[in-house]
Amino acid sequence: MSANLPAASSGTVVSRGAAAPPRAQAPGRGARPAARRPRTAVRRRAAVWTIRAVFLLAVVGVWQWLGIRDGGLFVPTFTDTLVALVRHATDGVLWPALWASNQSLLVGFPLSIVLGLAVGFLLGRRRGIDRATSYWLDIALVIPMVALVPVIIVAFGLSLSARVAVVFLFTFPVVALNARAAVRVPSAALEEMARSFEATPTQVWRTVILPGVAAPLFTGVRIALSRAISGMVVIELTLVPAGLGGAIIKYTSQFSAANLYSMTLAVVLEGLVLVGLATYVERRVIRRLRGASRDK
Amino acid sequence: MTSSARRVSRQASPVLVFVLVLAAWQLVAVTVAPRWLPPLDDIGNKVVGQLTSGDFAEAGLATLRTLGIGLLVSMAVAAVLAAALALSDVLDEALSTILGGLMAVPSVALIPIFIFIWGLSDTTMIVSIVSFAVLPLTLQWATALREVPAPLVEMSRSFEASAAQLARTVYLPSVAPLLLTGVRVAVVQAIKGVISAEVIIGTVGIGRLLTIESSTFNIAGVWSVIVLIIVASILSYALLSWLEGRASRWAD
Repeated sequence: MSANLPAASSGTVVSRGAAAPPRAQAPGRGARPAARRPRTAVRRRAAVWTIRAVFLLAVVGVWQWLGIRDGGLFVPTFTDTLVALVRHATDGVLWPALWASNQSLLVGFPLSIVLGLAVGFLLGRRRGIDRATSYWLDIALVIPMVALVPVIIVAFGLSLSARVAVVFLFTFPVVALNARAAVRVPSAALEEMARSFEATPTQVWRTVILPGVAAPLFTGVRIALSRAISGMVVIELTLVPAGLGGAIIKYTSQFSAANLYSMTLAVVLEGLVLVGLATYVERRVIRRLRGASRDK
Repeated sequence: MTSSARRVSRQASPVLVFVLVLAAWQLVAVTVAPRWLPPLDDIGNKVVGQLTSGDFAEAGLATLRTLGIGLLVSMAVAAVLAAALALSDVLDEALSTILGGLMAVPSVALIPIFIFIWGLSDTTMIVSIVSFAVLPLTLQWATALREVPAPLVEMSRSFEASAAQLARTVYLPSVAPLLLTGVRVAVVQAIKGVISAEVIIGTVGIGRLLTIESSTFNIAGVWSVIVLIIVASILSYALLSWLEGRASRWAD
C-alpha cells in the first residue's frame, strides 16, 4: 500500500501535467511514411492548435451565452466578469485581498517544503523508520483534510497561524512522500559505476544523484503548490473569512454575481499562473541537469 | 530465529508506533489538556454515541448518496472524454495538455459559485464532486485506454476472434487494472469534494454534523466525526486497492 500511493493518487498529475510531451508517435498508430513526415507534422501542429483554440473559444462562448440567457443574475457573462476583475484590480480591492490570502501560502508552503524534504529524505534512507511510520503520510494523503479545519480553529483561533496550519496540512504529506520516493530512485548500480570510474563525490552527486532526484522532487513541489492554494482558499471559505475567500463570501451574501465570479476567477488564475511557473522552472532545471549528466 | 524475530519486529513496528502515538495523545490530553485535544476515551464515547444514536448513519447516508451520484456522473463524463482522447491522436495531443493544466485549478474555490447557482441542493453537491473528480479520472482513463496493445489486437483479429472474445481476452485484461486505478483516484477526490462542499455549506450530511458539534464547542464530538470520516475514507481506499490488486493479478 505504502509504496505506490504517491505515484498512484497523484500520478496523473505527475505524468500528465502541463509538461506532457507531444505524443506524436503513439505505437501502432503513427505508421506514416518517413518522407511525408515534415508536411504531415506541420499539418498536425496546425490541427492541434486549431482544436485548442476551438476548445477555449467554446468554453468562453458557452459561458458568455449562459450569462446572456440568464440575464446576469446567477451567471454573469464572461465579459462582465472580466470587467469586474479589471475594476477590482484598479480600485484596490483585488491586490490587498490577494496579499492577505497569500500570507498563509508564503509562510505555510516553504515550511512544508523544508519539513517535508527533511522527513521524506529520512524515510527514504532509513527503511526501518519508514516501515514503522510512513503509513501516517499515506493516510494523510487520502483523507479529506478539510474536516480538520474546526479543530485547527480551536487550536489556533481565527488567526494567520490557523491558515498557515491548514496550508501545511494540505501540502506536507505530498512533499514528504515525493521526497521519499525521490531519494529511492537514483540507481545504486549507476552510482557504483560512477564511483568505479573514479568520479569525485561532487561529480557523482551532480551527474547521478541530482538528475534522478530532481524530477520527482519538482513534481512533488508542483502538486504541493496546487494543493497549498486549495488549502489557502478552503479555510477562508469556511471559518476565517480573509483575503480572496473572504471576498468571495462577501459577494455571495451581497448577491453580486459578477464580483463573485471575478474573485473566483482571480483564485483560479493564481492557481494556473503559479503552477504554470513551477512547471516552467521544473522543465528548465531538469533539462539543465540532463545536459550536465551528458556533458561529463 | 533472529531473522524471524526481525520479521516480527518489522511487522509489529507500525502497530507499535500507532499505539505510541495514541498513548502520547492521551498523556498530553490528560496532563496539559489543550482545548483542541480531548482525551481518547471522550472521543471513543462520542463515536459510540454517534454510531448508536443513528446520527452518523443518517448524515452518512445523505453524504454517501450524493457521493455515489456524483461519482457516477463523473465516470460517465470521464468515459466519454477519455474515449475521445484515446481514439484520436490529434485530439489527445491538443487537449491533454489543457486538461492537465486545468488540474492546477483549485476546485474548492468553485464551490461558492455552485452554491450561488444551485443553492443548498443535491445538484450543488454533485457538481462539486464532479469538479473534484472528473479531471484526474479522465486523464487516468485516457492513459488506461491507450494501454491496449495494438499488435495483440491485430493478431487476435487475424485469428478471427469475435468482438466479444476480443473484448474479454485482450481489451479488458489490458485496461481493467488502470481503469480501477482511475476509480480509486476518483473516489479519493470525490470524498474530498463532498466533504469540502458540505463543510462550506454547513447544513447537509456529515458537514452538518461537523458544524453542529463545532458550534456547540463540543471538541470531542468534532474529533469523533473526523475519526469516522477518516475510517470511512481509509476503508473505501483499501477496498479499491484490493480490487485493483485482484484485477491486475487476473490480468496477468
